[in-house]
Amino acid sequence: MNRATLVLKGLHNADPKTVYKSLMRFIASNHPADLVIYLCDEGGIEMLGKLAYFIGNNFSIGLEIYLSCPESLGAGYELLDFGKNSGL
Amino acid sequence: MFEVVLTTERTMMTDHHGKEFIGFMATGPAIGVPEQLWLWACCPKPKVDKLGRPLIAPYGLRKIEAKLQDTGYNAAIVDPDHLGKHLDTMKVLLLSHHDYFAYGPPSSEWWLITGQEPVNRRSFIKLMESPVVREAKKRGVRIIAGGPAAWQWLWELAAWEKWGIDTIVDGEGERVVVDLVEKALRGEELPKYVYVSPREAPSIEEIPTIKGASVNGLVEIMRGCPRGCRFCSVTLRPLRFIPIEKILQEIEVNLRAGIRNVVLHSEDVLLYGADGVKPRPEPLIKLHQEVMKKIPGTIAWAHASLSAVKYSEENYKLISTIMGMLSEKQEMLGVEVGIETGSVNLAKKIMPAKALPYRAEEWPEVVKDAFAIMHDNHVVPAATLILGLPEETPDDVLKTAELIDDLKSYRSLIVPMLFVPMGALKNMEKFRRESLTREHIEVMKACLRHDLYWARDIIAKFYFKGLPYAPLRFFLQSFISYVERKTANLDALIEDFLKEKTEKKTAATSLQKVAGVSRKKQNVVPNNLLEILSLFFIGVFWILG
Repeated sequence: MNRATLVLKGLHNADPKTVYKSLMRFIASNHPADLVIYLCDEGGIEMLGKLAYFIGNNFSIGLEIYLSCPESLGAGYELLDFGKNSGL
Repeated sequence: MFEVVLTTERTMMTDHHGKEFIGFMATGPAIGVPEQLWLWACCPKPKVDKLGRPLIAPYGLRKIEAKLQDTGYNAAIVDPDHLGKHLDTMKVLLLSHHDYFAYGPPSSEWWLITGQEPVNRRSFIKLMESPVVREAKKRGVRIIAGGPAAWQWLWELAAWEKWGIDTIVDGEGERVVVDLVEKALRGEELPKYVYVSPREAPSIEEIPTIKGASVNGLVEIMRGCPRGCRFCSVTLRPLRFIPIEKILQEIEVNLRAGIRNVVLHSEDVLLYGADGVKPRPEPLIKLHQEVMKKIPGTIAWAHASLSAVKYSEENYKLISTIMGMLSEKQEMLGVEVGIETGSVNLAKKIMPAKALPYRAEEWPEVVKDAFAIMHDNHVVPAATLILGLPEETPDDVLKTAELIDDLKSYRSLIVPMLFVPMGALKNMEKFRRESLTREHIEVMKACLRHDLYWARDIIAKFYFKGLPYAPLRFFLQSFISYVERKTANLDALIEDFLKEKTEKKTAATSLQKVAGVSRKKQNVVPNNLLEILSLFFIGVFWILG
């Protein structure tokens, strides 16, 4: 199965609605790919719980979540940074 | 000694004395007796070999064990009391459970109405905090948890972190487990969470044949369900029929371990080989013929839908044909069925396809007709209802009470389940006070009356017949008499409880005064009432088991 990989940064201060909207856009644009998410640097297990619950309730796609950053941010990754420069 | 160890806690790693329905006791708290005695009554330890491998184990764990062994891993299921034997070799510990934290039905219901933690939850926590599991974690063992209750970890994030669970796998595991174990053994990073989508569900060829015996001879005949009920996750999975040859191979494995009986497992046994939701006689008759030829004991069905019961009998006389075939070896057949509601309005909202091929508007008639067919053919259903669904109205509940009344002539046991929303878990006591309505209690009373009557009949005519069972029969009949005596004054208790609720809502007295008086009363009157009810319904499962 085709998989799309997303790296999320700066989640701890992000507005959940903005995060969810970004996620939905990403999932829709990669449909029907399964999703791999790296919760990079921050967010932790609390954020994992929220994301898994949100995605599970809204989409019937495969999901893998890592509590880490990928080894390299090469091709095939999309980075969504909700950090201080994002204006959130 | 094993590198990959699969295990679960005691309420799962047991054969419930060979009576599958006794397993329901393990979903409740120990009522009126010490917990150890309760566990002895419902969850005896299985026989194990020198390495601590149990003679019988939960079917889901057996599937994952088989997948890993087929792939060449040094993997085995080990009884939780014997994990210490593998501490030096263990690199990966796999856990499975159907209700890790007692958030599923009926555990959450017993928890809600008694206010006490169910023993399955307590036993799992005890396992995870045991010295051997802590030591394993300290030595770097990677822990992967899965099974049908994997979703519950999303509500127990603190425990997930505290116990160092490396990965939670939610969904059918056969396709992903090998890759995860390989990564774990290589010391590579594991995903913290994996959700296996229905698209990624394993094909028939990818589902392995079990290598060791399953609890009470349970074998899977199909996976998935086409009905799409809103309260059920199984229905999201694609429908797959296990070939008869494969079913017989698994029965052979169980026979070699001395398991004489078979539980045919499916969300709807009558849909085996079906044309959509319409049962077909050929595959079902062939399945039962082949299984009967193979086993010296009896057959039970895990689940069947009431619409399939009605359709298969009215169109093909299938229930009477199968029961005629089975009558050589058994007088009755037990099965779990779901009534869920007697309200057409609610049925249309939450389970529009449950009545198919009949219309949802016909649901109460489908239920009644199916019960009549089962009664005539000595199929004894343990039926469940769901109370407290989010869109339920008092009128819906009254319709359910009316339906139960219409079922009074049919031999069956009916158990009400309370829908407990996840948000309520953090304040069970509040939810318990506020969620139970007069209508719910009326339904519980109707179930109680129905079950007291039919439990006596079932015991006398089908269960525990003959002199050797006389003491057990006497015990069960005494238990029923005890419940009858205890519930003789039920109406007065209920009125007290409901009055209490009303007073609580409207009280104009000070908060302190209200809290002092009400809390005291609530811990006396309703608890007695609800504990009697829950004890009885747990007892119902014991009798049917």
